[in-house]
Amino acid sequence: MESERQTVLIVEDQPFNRAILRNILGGEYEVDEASNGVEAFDVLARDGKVAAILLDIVMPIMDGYTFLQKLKDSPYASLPVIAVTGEKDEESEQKALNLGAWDFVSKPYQTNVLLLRLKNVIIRSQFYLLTEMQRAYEFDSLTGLYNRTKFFAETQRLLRAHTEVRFCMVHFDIDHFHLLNTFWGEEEGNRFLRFIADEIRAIGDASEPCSYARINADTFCICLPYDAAAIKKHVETVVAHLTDYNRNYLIEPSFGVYIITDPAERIEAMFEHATLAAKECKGKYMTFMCYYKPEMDEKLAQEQVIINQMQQALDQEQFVVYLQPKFNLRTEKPYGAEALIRWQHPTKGLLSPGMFIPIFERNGFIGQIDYYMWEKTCQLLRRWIDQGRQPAPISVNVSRVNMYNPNLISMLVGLVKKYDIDPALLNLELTESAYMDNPEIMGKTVTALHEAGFIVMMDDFGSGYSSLNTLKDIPINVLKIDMKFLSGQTDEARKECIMAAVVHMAGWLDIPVIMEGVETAQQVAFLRSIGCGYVQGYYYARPMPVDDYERLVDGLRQLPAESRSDNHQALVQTIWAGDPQVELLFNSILQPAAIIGFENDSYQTIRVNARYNELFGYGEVVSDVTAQLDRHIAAEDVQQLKTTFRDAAARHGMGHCQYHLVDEDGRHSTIDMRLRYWGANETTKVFFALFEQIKDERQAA
Amino acid sequence: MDDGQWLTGGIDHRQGVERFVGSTQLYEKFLKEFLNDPTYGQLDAAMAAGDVQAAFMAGHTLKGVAGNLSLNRLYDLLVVLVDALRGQGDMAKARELYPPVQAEYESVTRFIADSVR
Repeated sequence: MESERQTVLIVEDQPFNRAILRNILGGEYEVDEASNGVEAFDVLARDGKVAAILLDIVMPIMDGYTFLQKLKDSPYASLPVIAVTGEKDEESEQKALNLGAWDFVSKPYQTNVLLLRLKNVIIRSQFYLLTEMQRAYEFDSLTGLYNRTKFFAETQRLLRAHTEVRFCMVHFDIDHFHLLNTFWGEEEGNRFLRFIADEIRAIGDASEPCSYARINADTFCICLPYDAAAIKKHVETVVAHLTDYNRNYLIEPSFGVYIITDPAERIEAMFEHATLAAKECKGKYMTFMCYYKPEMDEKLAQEQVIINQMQQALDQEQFVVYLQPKFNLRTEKPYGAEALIRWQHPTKGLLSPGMFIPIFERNGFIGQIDYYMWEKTCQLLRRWIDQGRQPAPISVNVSRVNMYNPNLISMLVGLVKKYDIDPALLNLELTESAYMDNPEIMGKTVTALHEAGFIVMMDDFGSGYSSLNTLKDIPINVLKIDMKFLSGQTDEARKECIMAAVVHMAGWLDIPVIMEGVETAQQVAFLRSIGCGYVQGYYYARPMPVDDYERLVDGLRQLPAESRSDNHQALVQTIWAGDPQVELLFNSILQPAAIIGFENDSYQTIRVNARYNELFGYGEVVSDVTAQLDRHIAAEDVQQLKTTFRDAAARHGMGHCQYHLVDEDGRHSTIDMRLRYWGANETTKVFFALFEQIKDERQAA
Repeated sequence: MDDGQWLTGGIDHRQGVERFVGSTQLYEKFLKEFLNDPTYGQLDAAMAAGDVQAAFMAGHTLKGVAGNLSLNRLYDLLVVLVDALRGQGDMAKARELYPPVQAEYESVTRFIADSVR
């Protein structure tokens, strides 16, 4: 089949010459004619198929040079032009070429030359067009980097050409780029992407042989020789540059590295592995780079399976409630339980929440799961009440998603009404990390839950970043702390100190503490000693099916841990609330005075007045009175002091004793101390003490 | 008629046919057309009027046509004439160079009329 004939436009004012040309060219081409430049533009506008222009340079009206100039600025600028010049007219030839003519022929026409040059020039122009199109097909117009298709092809070539080099594929993107783009607007967003492209280019330039591209949006990819140290350096450099780029925003990259072990693997698959690795970095504090592990693919595949099955699982009630009892540490008997989810999977067996809850949290399905668990728990409580048991409260988890659900209160109230149970029986465990998003809303929600009669527990206290503020602003009833948060390389003493302090603080706030993850007898003993009220953990009981739980508590009277507080509110008011009158009194007493806490056979000053500091020296308010700064309590007096405290505590009354302080030079002073029992909180007995220095050997010297 | 004979008439027939993509028919058709071409008349009038510009334009055009038709004797004469008329032009010199042009034009057109059917 003949290919279509191309069209040539002849621009020549002489009819005779036009006719000659028409005839010369007519064998091979379709011929359009114009007798001057203006006409030529008309023809070009009409006929879109013109492949080349044969232009007489010397013409009236619009001469050839003018036409060439105008052509350059027209939409037809890419059309090839052959200038027809007078014989031996080098000047014209030069001028024509300078103005953009692709070639020239002279008169008289040399037909074969003319035809050849025309053909050449048309082929060249088509090639040029093709290159332009290809450019558009291969390159990303915003950044000038390769686009996805070109990149994959080039990478394929790269790997084949360098079989001796071990390469890796690196996926790069920016966390939450869509948000940044929204804040910045399109122009600024594009500027940023070009900046990123430069960073990528810089890495590429330093890592030959390599290929790199912009895949889409904020996703870039580089294939470069694998060098762990070099990659780490590149990542650090980019992170540093991003930090400097715009200090008003947190710009965090994710680098996913996939080491190419089989160059014959599909390039797209390599890129997918790198992408999966990059996903792992997200949401991890200060983690910007991650290497691909085959488990990630496994994980992804499993995730997909779970997502496909979850709705049906819910509808078919494959999720079941397991109960982990909480123990009253003082009576060592159970008191309530936490409801924990398990998935009784038809083929995979019993699945623990770790295998599916994170997925549900990511895709929001957790909201429905929560409600399902709440309802199941209400049904249990109702059944137990109907059976004549007097159930202790069961706590259920409220996910972050539901904590910000405006229907939360109505859902919960609806449930307890439906099953006609006291809201205080359905305790709610909220996780601390959820508070961080919007403490104000949280505060309101918790208050509303209180008003509806629910007891609110803060789960995983201490695992988040804002524990102190949270306690301050949000009126929770119970703290749950996980022993594991204190696990790791921290030394034991430090851990114990922190835990004791937290339990103390809770004590002053009159908030019971449940310690989770308790596994050994040693831990139990320690917790008891610091005044912790409740424990939940494998040491006492694992999460168990409802039947087992019912058997466990059958016939038992489940009692909460008794509060050991005595005069607690008054104490708190006096010691901590800074009542001005009390302050005044405390500070104007002419004698050194202190408020001392006694527990577990040791004492600590809680507060002291100015005279105390003058007598014993300045130090931290809460310091162990066994070391009154530069002087030590004489060893032989220590026991006596403790006995005084103990007796006073037992009698809820007064105590009196004298003891010696010894300084580093061995000189004694004698101190007279009068004690008065004041009250107690969960952990500590509180005393008011007055001091007087009777004898001071130092002065004698 | 062979090429040599055409050449004596001032026409390079072979070159002309070559130019006209090997078609004698096409070439000779154009030769015949030339007889009706008005350009020579324009040149004549301009020379008579002493109009350098007009003479130049016509001469130049005629030169082109002659060249394209391989009327090489006429062409060569016109080259010289056109040169003299370029720019400011030297009408005196041109007048000197013109009669041979006239003669050749008469001659070659008669030759064409006789030779081409």
